[in-house]
Amino acid sequence: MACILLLSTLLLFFQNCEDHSSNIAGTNEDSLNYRKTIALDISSDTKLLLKRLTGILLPEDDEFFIEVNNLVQNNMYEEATQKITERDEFYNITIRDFASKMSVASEVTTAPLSDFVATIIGIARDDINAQKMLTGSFFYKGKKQTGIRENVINDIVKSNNHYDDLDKLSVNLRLSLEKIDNQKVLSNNKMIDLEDAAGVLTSRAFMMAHAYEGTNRRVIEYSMSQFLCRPITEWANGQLSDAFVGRDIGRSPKVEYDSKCKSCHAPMDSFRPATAYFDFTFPNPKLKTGFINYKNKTTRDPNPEKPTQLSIVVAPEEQLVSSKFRRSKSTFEFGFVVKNNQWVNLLIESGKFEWSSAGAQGEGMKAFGTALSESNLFSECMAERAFKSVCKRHPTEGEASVIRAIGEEFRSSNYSLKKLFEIVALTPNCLGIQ
Amino acid sequence: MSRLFFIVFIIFTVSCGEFNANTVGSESSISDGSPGDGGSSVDSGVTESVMKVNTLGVISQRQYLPKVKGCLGLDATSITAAELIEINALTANLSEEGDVKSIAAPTMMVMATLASKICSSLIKQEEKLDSPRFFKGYSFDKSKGQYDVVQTITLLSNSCSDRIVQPDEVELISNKVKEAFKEDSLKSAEEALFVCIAILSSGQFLLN
Repeated sequence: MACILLLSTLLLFFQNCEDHSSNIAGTNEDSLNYRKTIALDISSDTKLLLKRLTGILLPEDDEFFIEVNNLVQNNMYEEATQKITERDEFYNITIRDFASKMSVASEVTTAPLSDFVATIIGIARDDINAQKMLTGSFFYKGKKQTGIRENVINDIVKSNNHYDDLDKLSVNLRLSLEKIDNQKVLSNNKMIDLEDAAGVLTSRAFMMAHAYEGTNRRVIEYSMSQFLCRPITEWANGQLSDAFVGRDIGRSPKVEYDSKCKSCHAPMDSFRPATAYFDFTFPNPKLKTGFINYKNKTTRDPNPEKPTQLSIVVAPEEQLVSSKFRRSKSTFEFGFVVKNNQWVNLLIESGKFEWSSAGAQGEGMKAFGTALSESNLFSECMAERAFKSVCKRHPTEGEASVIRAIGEEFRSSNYSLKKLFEIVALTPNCLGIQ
Repeated sequence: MSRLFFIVFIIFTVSCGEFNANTVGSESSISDGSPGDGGSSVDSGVTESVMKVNTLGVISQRQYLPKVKGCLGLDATSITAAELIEINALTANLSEEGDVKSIAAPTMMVMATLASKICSSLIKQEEKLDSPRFFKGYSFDKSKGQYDVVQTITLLSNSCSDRIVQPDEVELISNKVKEAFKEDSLKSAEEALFVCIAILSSGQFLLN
């Protein structure tokens, strides 16, 4: 009986919500009076800033709250947001969610804590230029602590054990994370410093998400969608040369190839050699122990007829290139052969993505990450993501100029993520704070 | 307990009445009546409304525990490891990103369940204090305390919501407290639990 009562009350509740939703813009007198009442609440801006930047609220007699509220009351909003972004929760909740979404293809905030996520939190906390997110050779890990596995090769390079433990023990990431210079990978079964490190693009988590199996095209596609906020549908271009389209892409029927395949593959495959020396291997997916295989010398590839047999001889100039670049190579034997990590940016001619001249061509992932980070779209994409995080909605088309302005401020702040969130929170379009 | 839940949900219906729906651009958003809402300006065109509207957000999975710990001043030892596991399992049912469109009946059920767990921990913590923060004058040993329920409601609401609680809301909860406990005048601990759950499972607390 109690359950039925409960259920009917719930239904009533949602019925009421529905009714209100259809009253567009809430212009009735009651709501206006209500707003007037609220406007008299001197601490409501403080609470709004606090909850949107950190996800929490504090008792009104809390020392920190009083301090921030005094700043707000004295119209010192910038100082107030700076104070708020010093709190642990800004890093442990807000920045973590911001980073988690970029770490996996599904773009969910529930993605596990990883080297990717920890590195972005660390960059924000230490106020490191966020371009390093795509170019730096470092990563963040938790400080030594009982109950946390931290063997570099077994728990960080070959598995996510270290970060899983940090999460399981609810470690305060803001306090615990420490920067470690030189990213590590396995090359011919030996751990080495990664010479071609590109920030989180060459993190274990990002490579696991996009370089496991496949042809490494996902690495390019998701780098563009996560860090420039441009899905492939926006940069596909049928007018570009297909000189770099791989051997595994069939060219017939020609009409279909020209109208469908070419437009995506032409720009994507021209960037793809950046990933030539990278592969992600899962010797035992059940154990979740997978790792980045870098410049793993391969003299023989699997026989396509009998994949367990390594019988296809690899040409000497291709032996450091991952075998996935030779997969289905007989589909169109005149296609582009990847022999090294030199890439070309065919999109630069379109002028669409505001690339700098350095982004025209390059060698490897670091140069690719540099090209991305130097495009104005990178700063605007970060602005857009921060906007969604703080303002709880996507910017509308009419707000493109607002995002551009925030992106510009982000650039002039030396790409400070902390500053970016502060700017967004005080943008009138976001929380209505004037 | 079921009586308590029933009353809590009645309070939801009142909170829901405070939501003001708005349509901005391609998305449907709901504003929460905070100062930036701008009132009359929302009628004067899309651009103007975008300038003044603060889109409503709801509490997300990762925000729940830090939010209750923060606004209630719960210390690190107030929640046991076993309780933490239970709470984490329950918060997995909340919104991932705080999107208001993710609110559903199960969300409200989970909010009430979580509230009961958190409130028990809060009461345990307050019981040990010489000068409790929220439950001033409550007696937790089956005797009638000397307390002001209106003060408790106001303190809890103002701490855990981003606006000042309105007199009609305080009255609603305090009337329900009187109604529910009129025959059990010695149960001040239960009253404390009732008030706390009512506030932590309200629509206003859900907003973030």
